[in-house]
Amino acid sequence: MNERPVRFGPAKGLSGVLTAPAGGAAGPAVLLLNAGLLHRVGPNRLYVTLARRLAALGLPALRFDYSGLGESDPRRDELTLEESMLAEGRQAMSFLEAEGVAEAFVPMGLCAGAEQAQRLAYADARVVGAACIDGYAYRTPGYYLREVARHVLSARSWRRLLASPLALWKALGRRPATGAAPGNPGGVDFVREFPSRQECLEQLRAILARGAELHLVFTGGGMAELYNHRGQFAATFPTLRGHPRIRLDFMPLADHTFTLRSQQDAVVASIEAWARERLVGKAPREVELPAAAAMAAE
Amino acid sequence: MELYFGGEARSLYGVWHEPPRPPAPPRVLVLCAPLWREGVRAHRVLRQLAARLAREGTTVLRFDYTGAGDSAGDNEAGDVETWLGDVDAAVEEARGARGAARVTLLGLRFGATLAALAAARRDDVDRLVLWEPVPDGTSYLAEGRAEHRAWADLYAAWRRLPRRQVEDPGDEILGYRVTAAMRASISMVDLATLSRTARDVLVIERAAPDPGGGLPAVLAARGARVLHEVLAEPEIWKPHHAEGTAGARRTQDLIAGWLARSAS
Repeated sequence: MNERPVRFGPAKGLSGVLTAPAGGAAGPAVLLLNAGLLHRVGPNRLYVTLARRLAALGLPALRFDYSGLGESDPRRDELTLEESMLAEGRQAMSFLEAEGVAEAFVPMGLCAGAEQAQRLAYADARVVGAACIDGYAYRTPGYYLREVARHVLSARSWRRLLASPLALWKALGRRPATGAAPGNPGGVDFVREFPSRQECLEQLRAILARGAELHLVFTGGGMAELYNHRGQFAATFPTLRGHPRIRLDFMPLADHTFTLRSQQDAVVASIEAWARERLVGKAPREVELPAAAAMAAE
Repeated sequence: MELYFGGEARSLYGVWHEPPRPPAPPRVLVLCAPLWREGVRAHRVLRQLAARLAREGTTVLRFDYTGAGDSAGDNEAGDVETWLGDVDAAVEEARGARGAARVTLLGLRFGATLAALAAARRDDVDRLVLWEPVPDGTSYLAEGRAEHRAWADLYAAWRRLPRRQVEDPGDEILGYRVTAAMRASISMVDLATLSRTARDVLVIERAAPDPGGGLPAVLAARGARVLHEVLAEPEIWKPHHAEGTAGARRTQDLIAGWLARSAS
């Protein structure tokens, strides 16, 4: 297996594993960004599976831990989490560049990792693509209509209505489910802070204007409070509807951490297909990658 | 310091935690993590524990089994014999790299079970720390399946999905497929049948043993000096929001204190 542990960043405090393609690099390098507080292997080793599958397509893949998570050291400065994660994402790219692994990059991740992938893509011109699983999402009128319809069509709601006519009234007036829901590892006190819809749109426009590719995946379970239909993204951002460099997958059955194996296989296949079609061969400055080739030969 | 080890047959990811001033002879401990989702959940606390034990003079090697964490193999690689071979490889690595004649094995959940099984077939494990060991493989698998079904029931109800839409082929435990080889080998595990064990054993469990004395009695009957502690601390291998994130401090204190006292 062409994997090796790496250390990078200030005082080499950041720990990662680099998976090198056996036949040398054939595209940009992938960065897998921590899914919340989980260490870099991801839920059910999703990131390990992705790193190896993408490396098999010819894309070098680095899974690493932000400072204070997994195997990485905590920081001793006073940067905010937002600042340090952005800085560390850039350090990961600079490290791979210095090692001769790649000059173009595709950050990807789940939840907080998806948010960071978008931020990194917006902030750094070396990013040529990003894959965001359960990243930023915004409710639309259609979202609320579908939620009401879900209650109305649910046998459970009718059973409760027949048992107590007040129950449906209460259910409709209830706030959306909190993070304590099953399959949401965030817990009750976990709050995700999103940029405004307008800010998000500006970021996406800037990323796309550079020619970068975007793959957005939304799970039904992970995003139940925010996203409930394949077309909701286009309804949120009508000016991006049908954009040739955006691919979107809605996985209605999947929970936030892909507990079911069938859903794990589906999300890996989704990202693999996107990578094969849009990333392989995409590095803008294609060069020989001596370090990667040497590693592969080991 | 991170490394891959295991020679030709394996490629295991390991992390060394070094004491600031290693004693002579060195005290070396190999840490055996839980399986599957329990292993991911426990990762942070086990790393903290390893760092603390290193600060207090013990060299610790943490590692991932074949098919787990950053080691080689997909999620369906391995069975009990593979994982025991991984523990053997970690013990060899620890002894070889640090020049230790003997090692301590510390395991959590099924990692504790593997540590006890490995100690029974090796001569170089003199101390064992078994933190909430799984004494019986068949019950362990049944509990895992029950936990998985409870998750699926709750998830389907919350999402208002027909239950059959979140059904699995019957072999999954919270994100991991239990292959036929895993099932067969785990079902065979029964720590009551251990033939031998280490010289000193610390067993930490949340519940008092059954009237027969449970695992501590079995280990004592095999000649071990056993300290059995009943300590109902947060189950760090379960979802963290269930019991907070205190990180089982008293358990960690207990382990560190026992390791210092029983060092020879």
